[in-house]
Amino acid sequence: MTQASPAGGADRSALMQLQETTGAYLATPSPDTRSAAAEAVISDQLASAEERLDIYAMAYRLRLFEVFGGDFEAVHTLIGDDAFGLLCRDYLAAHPPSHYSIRWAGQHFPAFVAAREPERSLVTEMAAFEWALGLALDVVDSTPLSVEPLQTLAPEEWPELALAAHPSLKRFLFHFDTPAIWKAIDNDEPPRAPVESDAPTPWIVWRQPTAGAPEVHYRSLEPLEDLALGAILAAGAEGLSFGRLGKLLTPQVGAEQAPGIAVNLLVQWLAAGLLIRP
Amino acid sequence: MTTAVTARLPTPASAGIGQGLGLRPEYYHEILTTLPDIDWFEAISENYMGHGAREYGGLSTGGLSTGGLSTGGLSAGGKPLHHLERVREHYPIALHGVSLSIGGSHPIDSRYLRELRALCERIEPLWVSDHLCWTRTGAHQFHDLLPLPYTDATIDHLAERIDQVQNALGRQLLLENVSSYLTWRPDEMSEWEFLAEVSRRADCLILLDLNNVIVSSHNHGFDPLTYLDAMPAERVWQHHLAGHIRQEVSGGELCIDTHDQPVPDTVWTLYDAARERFGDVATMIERDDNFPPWSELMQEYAELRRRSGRPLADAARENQTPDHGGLRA
Repeated sequence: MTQASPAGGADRSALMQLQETTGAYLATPSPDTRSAAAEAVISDQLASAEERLDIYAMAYRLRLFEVFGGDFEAVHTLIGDDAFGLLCRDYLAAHPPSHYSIRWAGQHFPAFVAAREPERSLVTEMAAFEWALGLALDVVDSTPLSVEPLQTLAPEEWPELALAAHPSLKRFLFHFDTPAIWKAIDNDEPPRAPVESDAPTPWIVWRQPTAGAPEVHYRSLEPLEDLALGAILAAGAEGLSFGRLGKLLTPQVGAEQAPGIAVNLLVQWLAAGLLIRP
Repeated sequence: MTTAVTARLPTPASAGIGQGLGLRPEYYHEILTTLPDIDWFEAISENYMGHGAREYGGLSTGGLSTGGLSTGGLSAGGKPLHHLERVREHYPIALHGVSLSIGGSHPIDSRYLRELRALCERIEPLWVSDHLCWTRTGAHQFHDLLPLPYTDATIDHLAERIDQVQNALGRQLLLENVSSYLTWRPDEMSEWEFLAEVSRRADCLILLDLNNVIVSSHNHGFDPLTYLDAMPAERVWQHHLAGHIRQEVSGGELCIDTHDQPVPDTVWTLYDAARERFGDVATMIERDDNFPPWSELMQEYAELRRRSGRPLADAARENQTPDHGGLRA
């Protein structure tokens, strides 16, 4: 490694200063940041220093707005171009990208939207739903639990069988028919009013392995399944034992029915790739 | 001085690798179902690195196109690594990064290097490239390829950092010239002198983007052939070809690198000139937005293959004079 000379250190400080001043203008365009940045740029007959810098400032915004538009396409459709543009502008000012991958630039977007919207909001639900679809698509690989290894389990081993949620599995409570609205927007159907209910509906989003490319799925849950899957999700990486699952269902369906219902749910979840072994 | 622990790519350059295309999610299906006669693909490294990789287009000034999440109904466009590995089963892959920020003043992101190295071990790329630029200040990532001041101090700064990256990856890095729209006051030399000297002092290789040379030559008023003549030929390992647009400014028009247009004649002509100087350097067409139908892109690729002296078999047949067995009028 080369040792930086004192003169080299001063030159590097100049490089850092130039980058900080330019970055300040790109991140926060104002007459002050613009003129400060333009001091380091040469104007010529073709274009002024400011015009040349503006190309970068514009590109920074356009690029990220386009990414937000792709990640939150349905939010964009719901609130329209002007409101979405303002939302992106404010979001970018509050949460400038920090990760090396532009994929994460929108990671705070759902929470940012929620903070601006009323407590019960289709737009908030949509932002959360759209981000979850993206996350499910590309979350880290983890082999789903399949039926085969369970077929060799001895009866006494079943109560201790630990079940954890696949990393792609996320659960939501929606007051609106948000996934249906998303689907309609995705299909370019004419806009319609959302259906709102006081009691929220539980939904899940997950990635299902297939013979071809992996697919992202979503569906709503019946109360019993919601109770069971919610408990598995809450158990986190350690997972929930099959025995605990049965006990959880017992107060709802009775001790006689609980084991059978737990098995039915398990078969359904295994087929969908919802579970892993912790 | 650089420490030479990196694996050296064999010379002569990348001759024999052939001509490639940018791997973009829009074309996964076509590529994997038809296995077209393409020599290799270039993939954007960040789309496949770490957890939660998602596919986006390359960086150009016209804006990024998002891809990959074509969640049509219940079916998604596909998990990035899944597709990359399927393509890798059939084709060599070069990895091309957009976020290394080799010219930044911040410490190099060690997690980035770890994840890039892990991807290299998984994909075994032809080579790894990134851009001669800066993309971040401290914690703020601009996701743009910002130009560096062409000074001796910048070259020293780059040589240290390139050394760090080459050691971390265990391989030589290809660095690409970026399109630029401004000239810094502190500049002490031309862009071509800067790039050539960086490659020598840092002992790295060059990805010479011919579209970017054309764009910058217009914006700064220099002769693109002067640029080519200054390149150390033995270090030029890859070319990019792409298109651009023009944008009105107070004194005329600036060329804006959008990578969303067909390769224009000016770039093809410069490619011919580059072949005269550098020989059969691995070359690919880089399309990042405004994606044409696959057949259209393949026509452009066929032109690349024709100019490089290895026409596609189908194109060669179409260009043959039909033999009508003496029945020609």
